[in-house]
Amino acid sequence: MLILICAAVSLLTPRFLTEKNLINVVRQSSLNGIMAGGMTLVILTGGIDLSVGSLLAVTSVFAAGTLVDGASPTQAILVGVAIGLGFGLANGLIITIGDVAPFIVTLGTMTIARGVALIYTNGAPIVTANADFRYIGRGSFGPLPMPILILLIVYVLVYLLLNRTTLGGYLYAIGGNQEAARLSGVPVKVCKTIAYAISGLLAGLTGVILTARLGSAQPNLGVGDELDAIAAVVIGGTSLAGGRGGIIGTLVGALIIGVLSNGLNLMNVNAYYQPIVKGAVILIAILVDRRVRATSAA
Amino acid sequence: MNKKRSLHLLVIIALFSVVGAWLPGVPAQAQTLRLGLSVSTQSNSFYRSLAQGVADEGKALGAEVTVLSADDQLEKQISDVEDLIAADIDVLLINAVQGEAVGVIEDAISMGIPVITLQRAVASSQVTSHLGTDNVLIGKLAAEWLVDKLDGQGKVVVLEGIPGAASSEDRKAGSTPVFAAAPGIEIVAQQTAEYDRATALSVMENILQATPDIDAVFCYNDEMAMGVLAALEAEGRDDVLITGIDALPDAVEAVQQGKLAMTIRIPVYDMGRLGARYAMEVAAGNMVPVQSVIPAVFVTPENVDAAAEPAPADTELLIGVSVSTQSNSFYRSLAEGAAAESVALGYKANVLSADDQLEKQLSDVEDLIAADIDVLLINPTQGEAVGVIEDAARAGIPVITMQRAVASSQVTSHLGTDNVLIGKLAAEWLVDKLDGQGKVVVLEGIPGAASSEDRKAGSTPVFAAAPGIEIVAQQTAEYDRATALSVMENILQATPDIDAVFCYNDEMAMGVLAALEAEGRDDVLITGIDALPDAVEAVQQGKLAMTIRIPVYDMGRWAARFGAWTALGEITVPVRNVIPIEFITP
Amino acid sequence: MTEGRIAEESWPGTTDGFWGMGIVTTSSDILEMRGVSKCFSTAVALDQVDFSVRQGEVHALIGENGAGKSTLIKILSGAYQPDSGGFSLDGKPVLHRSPALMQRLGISVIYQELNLVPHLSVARNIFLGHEPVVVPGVIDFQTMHRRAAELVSQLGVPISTHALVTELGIAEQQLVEVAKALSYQVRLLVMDEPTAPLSEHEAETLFDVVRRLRDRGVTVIYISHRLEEIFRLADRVTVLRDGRVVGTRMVHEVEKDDLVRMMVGRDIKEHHPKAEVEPGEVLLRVRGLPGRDGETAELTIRAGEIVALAGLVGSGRTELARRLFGAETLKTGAMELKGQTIAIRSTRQAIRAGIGMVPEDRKTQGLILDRSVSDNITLPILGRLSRGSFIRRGLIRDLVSNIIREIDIRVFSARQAVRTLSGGNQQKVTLAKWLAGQCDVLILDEPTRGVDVGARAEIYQVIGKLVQEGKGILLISSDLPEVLGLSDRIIVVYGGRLVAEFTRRDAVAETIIRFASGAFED
Repeated sequence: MLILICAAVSLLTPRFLTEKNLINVVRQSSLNGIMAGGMTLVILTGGIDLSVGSLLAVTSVFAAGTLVDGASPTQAILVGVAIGLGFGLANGLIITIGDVAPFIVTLGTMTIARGVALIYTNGAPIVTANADFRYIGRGSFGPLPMPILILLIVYVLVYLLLNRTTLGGYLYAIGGNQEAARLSGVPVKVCKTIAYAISGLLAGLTGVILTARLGSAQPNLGVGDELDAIAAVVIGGTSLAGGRGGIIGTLVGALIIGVLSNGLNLMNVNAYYQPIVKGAVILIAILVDRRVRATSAA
Repeated sequence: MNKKRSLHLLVIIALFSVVGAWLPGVPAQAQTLRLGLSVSTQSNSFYRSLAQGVADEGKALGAEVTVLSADDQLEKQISDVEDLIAADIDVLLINAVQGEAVGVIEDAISMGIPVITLQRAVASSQVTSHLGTDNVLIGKLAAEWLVDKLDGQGKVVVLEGIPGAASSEDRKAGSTPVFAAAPGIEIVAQQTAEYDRATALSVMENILQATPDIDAVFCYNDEMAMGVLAALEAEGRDDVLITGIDALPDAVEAVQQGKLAMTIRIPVYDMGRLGARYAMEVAAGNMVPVQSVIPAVFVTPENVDAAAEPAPADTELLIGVSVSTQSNSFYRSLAEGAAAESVALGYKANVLSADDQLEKQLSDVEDLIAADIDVLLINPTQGEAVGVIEDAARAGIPVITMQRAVASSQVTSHLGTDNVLIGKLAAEWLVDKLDGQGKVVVLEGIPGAASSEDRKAGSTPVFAAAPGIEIVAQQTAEYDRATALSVMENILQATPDIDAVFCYNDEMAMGVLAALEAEGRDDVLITGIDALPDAVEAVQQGKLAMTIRIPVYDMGRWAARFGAWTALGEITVPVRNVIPIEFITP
Repeated sequence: MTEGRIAEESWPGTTDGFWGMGIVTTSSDILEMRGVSKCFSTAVALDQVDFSVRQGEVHALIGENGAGKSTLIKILSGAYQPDSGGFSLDGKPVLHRSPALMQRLGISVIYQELNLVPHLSVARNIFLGHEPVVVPGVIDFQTMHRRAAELVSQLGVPISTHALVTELGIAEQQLVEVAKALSYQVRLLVMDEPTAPLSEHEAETLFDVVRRLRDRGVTVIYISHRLEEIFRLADRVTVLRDGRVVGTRMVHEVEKDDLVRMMVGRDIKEHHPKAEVEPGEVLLRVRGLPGRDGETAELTIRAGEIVALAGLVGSGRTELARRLFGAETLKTGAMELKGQTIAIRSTRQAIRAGIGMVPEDRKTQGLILDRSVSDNITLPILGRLSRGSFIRRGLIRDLVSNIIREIDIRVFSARQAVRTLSGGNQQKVTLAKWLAGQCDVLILDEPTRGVDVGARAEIYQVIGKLVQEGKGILLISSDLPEVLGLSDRIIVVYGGRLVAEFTRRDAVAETIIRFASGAFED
């Protein structure tokens, strides 16, 4: 599907298939991609994390804030990621110990996180001029822009986690049949909590990178981004019911969304038509995927 | 009743002293301000009333007011203004004879004297403020009223005002389509009577000779309506409906006697008073609306005897403020302005934020109504917030909308920017900056959002009219910084050869800046709108070429003033106000 | 031909017995399938199946799990489309098949997993989707309940049409499904292993209902693993094996052993092979469990011993087992494992202490259907199969392939999703989960429910192997012959209490039933 869209876009605009633009597309997709990586874990357990968009904002403003207060870039990054992790952990604990539906819990933290970001910034953007900090958003490692490098590292780690570790196996098991997993001795609550914690952590990381790319942090960053992340996961073939799917699909999903926006921009498509094209392609992608899956699985 | 009235008076006096107190720039003790008013004529009670309003209010505020009448002659008005300038006035208020009075007005401005135009606007962008009625709207409302009264059937005579005079042309523009759209209405004669009673008498006599079979006469003002009435009475006819506009005292009396069917009252005295208040503010260096529309009221035999306005005896005003969001510095500043001014006027304010949710705003307003507010200042989450506003209006609470307008006749007053104008001005600025030559990228806001569509409507024709300007890409970045960053990166891939990026807001401008900086480009002009703190900083550093500041805090202050004045029944406030903008450049 | 036409016109609802048992003419066939084949990827589920059912008969369909029975039913119900072949109803070919259409043609299927909405009333479930209405969209509740009551009374069982389905027992729920089928003017009713979850008494009631339906002219295709039921109920029987029809017989002309041979293609001994193991040390001792007459009772399991918990469904057997396994908190009784007092609060703790459990419902509790055989088998011991937290994939591959070979789970690959396996093989996977782990005590809750004869024997073998290895087994089963044949000791549970205990030698079926049904209290 991704290849199909890429082919279509490159036929329609010669600018698409340039090395520079391809790197550009991947870099743009990397933020949604990193966030969707965490979302994949959560959705695999049959849950959902609506808070990531707001976590993006809260980690962004705190990272920028600590930087402005004189902390080193490393400290700022750690603060951002730690806050994401903290919120994620809170999500997980409330969901498992409180036994509340993930939708509601993360909806709650989504609102809270947004409020925290607003209070912290008083609604105004925080400008960060620190060049070292901005490196993780704007710099490159060899030919590879930092966001892409981070994306790759995150995906390798998540891939290993899902396919090579006990935790990964447990997450699939919980999503597939939570009761069976519990009766098989899987520490269901611990595993779920970890999934939400990782989702929060990666949202935090995304927030930090985005702050570095923009050169400023804002409390209204990332509104609605959770839906893009969920879309990437679902386009990537992970079932919203849990237990089925994988991280590679999510990467492809994030790239499909990225290539679409890029292609529409390159072609200078009228703003009114863009949402229609995006929505239609997402639906077609899912339908085609369903069809392919049905014929190969049955 | 007597007690109430004297209380009312007390309130007014108290308010005046408060008004005096919030003129920080007026060194009342040091030097008396001088206001000059040039009025088109004093032989017309309408303009006499206007001049009276300016004079009374100016004096009440401690200023010295000089009023000169031009007797409807442009030449006299020019010399009047020259005299006023020579008399060293601080602010010029002018009720122009014609729109062509622009030259003399620009003379005054070039002498450093701010100008406020009253009732008749002139085509100059340098006028500080204009107060007037919207004659297109008045013409439309009056014509609709008549068509309705005639049940859509009848022969109508139309008497126009002075040919070429803006008010006459506007009333024509408002009324003509209404008559044309009514199939049963036949315009048997359409003549000018030059807004004059005597002229109208003879014109009407002539018309009656030619076509005696008429059902109604639609007059663009009361003077003419009274002339028409005289002509008809002389013929012994009382079967003709006559409508006028202006609610002159004898016209109102004629309505009471059932001789005129309707006239429209324009609170012209209050227009004059407001003009004086604006003038004092301007003299103090404060912001005033660049355009304020004074409302119009039908006077008919049914309502002519109704008491004017009930005067609430409540001096302890509670001003309710409901803003769409406080998470955005723009709207927070709006709320702060409204609250600060309420307190400065000696009243209490209750500010609620709807977090951009219509539902929350609805409940916020319900809470405010329950808290027994005297006036509601609301910045609606969206234009569809009509229901919210009508709830408040039903509870008898005057409503003032801020920044976002709502299609409801229940709104007492609206203050806001005109995004069409902003788009136009910003685009003109950029075209000028580029010397009319260059490749421009346009980043639009959220598709379908009124502000974005209006800015588009204002800017697109400007770019289209400049032959040397090429729009190489026009995309939406949804008013969002991160989105603008991505979109700009993509555009740079497709068309790296650009000279300027025209953004519909600062958030996007900052995103564009980040994208260009990442590419190491500093050869591109970027313009934004909103004057966010970091955008202003970027302008200072020469990274952004321009942004536009909307004095939103002052908008909030004016809303609070209008609110308080309305709640006290103290003065008729303008129904529509356009807030001026300010370019911020390095 | 003439007879067929008369039958067609007088259907449904006729009680005339003109479809004589002995008359074999194709014209009286209500259903005729010809050359039906169906493949799933590479696996052949049905291969050129010819199958016909006569009007008004109870036709049993048997075969091992995986023989193709379910696929056949799903083709009949319109859920699957055959790759080739087709079928006709009343001699007329049915071309466009969909579940809704088949229902309209009078074919209803009662699956093992009932299709009822738990929180709606019996009447609403019966008329779900075709409610009588006052005006379109507004249900006529009065008519609905009246007609529902009529349908239920046809079954001869007292069920309130106002009761919520969730308040009913599984047997009553099944009858609601039957009533629902009747509401569609059912002519051909397919019942897929209806007695599997039922107690013996409930099964008797169901048989009465089936006979009553037959007397009213409804044709029934009856699928079961319990051969004795077939001899009591069915007129004819068709045996499927490996997607092919082995043969159709008149029931009164065959013996049980003939059917078993047809099903498995070989002779198997259907009795329960008790592995003779001398019980060793006490592995598990639970004191202070509620006993008879307010006394406390004790539950012990020794190494190499099989202890059965006998009792009716709902007697508290499963609850007791789940408590031992930490799936529910143990309220009474102190637990001792190999002489050590332990308190078990979670399944994880139980597994670490050496207790395993095969839950009663493999689909909702035992298996993760979308995951592979390998993933399911290793789930309880994944921690032990990893270094750091990284899974040792080589180790897992070897272990899983050993187990698959050892207990003969029929799969193409260990990576195959469990969902694609037959019931018997799925059950073997749930057992395999505990073979891989080093558990000492294994709780088996209904290990052979819904499992065919061949797989059942293999499961018995696995159980035998386990006790030979010195594990203690706590067996819960509603199948009395199984309990009597397999266990060393039998504890009867009634109303959550341990009311009687018998050794293998003393156990008599009648006595056990007496205790299990509460008759001892007189």
